[in-house]
Amino acid sequence: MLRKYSTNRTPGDNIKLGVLAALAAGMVNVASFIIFLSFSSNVTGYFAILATELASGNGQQFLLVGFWVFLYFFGSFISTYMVISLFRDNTYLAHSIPLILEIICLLIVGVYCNYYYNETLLESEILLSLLLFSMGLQNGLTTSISNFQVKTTHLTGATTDLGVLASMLLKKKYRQKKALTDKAKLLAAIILSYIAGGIVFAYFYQIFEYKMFFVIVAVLSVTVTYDLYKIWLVKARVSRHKRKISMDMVFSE
Amino acid sequence: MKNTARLLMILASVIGVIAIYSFTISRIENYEELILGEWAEKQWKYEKVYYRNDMEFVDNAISETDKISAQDGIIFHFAEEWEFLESGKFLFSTNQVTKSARWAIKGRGDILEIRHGDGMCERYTISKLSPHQMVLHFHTDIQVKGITKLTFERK
Repeated sequence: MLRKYSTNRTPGDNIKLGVLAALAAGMVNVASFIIFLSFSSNVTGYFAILATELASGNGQQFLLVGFWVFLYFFGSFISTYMVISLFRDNTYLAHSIPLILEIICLLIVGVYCNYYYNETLLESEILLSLLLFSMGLQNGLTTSISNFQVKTTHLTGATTDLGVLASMLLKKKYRQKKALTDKAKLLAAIILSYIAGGIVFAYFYQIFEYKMFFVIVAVLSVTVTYDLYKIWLVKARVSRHKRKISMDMVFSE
Repeated sequence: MKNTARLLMILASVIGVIAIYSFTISRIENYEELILGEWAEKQWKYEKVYYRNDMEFVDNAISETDKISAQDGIIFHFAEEWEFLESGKFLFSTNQVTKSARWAIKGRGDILEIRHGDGMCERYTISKLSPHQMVLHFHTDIQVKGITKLTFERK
């Protein structure tokens, strides 16, 4: 999921990354909506609010919403900057750091909500800012490492693309193109996973309340550690193979 | 050298973000302080009117009977006095009967949430909050058609 970059990625890599990241994003978006009554995984609505507040001369709201939009942008910027600066040295590390930063942000929100949150406006605004930044980090990462194939925090583009593909796939000549069917599968998987994340959070929030943030952290931790396990497995295989070759050489001598 | 320049750029970006954030936060009016105190409800009005023939309307203001019968599961406030306490306690009274709940301001300072002891939760969009007047809207969705506007004045 995180070991490969851009065109080296298989459709399977993208689906795995898309499903796990969209699951987390769906949960985060519903979390912010239930707890703070604002969305955190998309900024389209905030652009509309930004314009409205500017037109009505409400400078304070304009600044606040503008800052939220900026945080999402900044998360995406940081994420991509890390990927393009570090991927030649260590691709896995370059792709993991933004997710680790996202995990840290969500842990801060989770711990704070569980032990200190008094539902004041300032707290809500700061915690929501962290969620927006973390979603920017995630979307920037998935978009940059998948060559703009995987976007997991909002579904406007995905729904449009899926609509276009569904229409095209009605014709046999398009159905025979693997790239199109792979893309449709990826988009459908992302959309379903995002919805599932939202449902899971909304349902279990009634029981576990703010502890649900730790579930999101667990989902993201699986995403980060899945490839670590694969790398360990590959390394173990290589060293076993090397041992076998050296043993063969000893016996042949 | 290149790496140092990159690091400096990232550091400058982080400092820039924190500076903008601090500036933004310091510029925001504190609605949680402004709302504190006692308010008297002056008007309840439907702005997008959906009505039955038997409803009585005077300048879009719905009659109190219809307010009560409109739907179960919604708390209708009319001719009430509201009091917001600093502790987060919310007192609302009609005809000398006072009930209590909890209040919080959420969203970007535009949503008033009132939570009752039985788990019921009311949410209002704060359209206007000045030292003397508070205007709230609630979206009743499919339960009652129309956007209801509640106007309060400081007591």
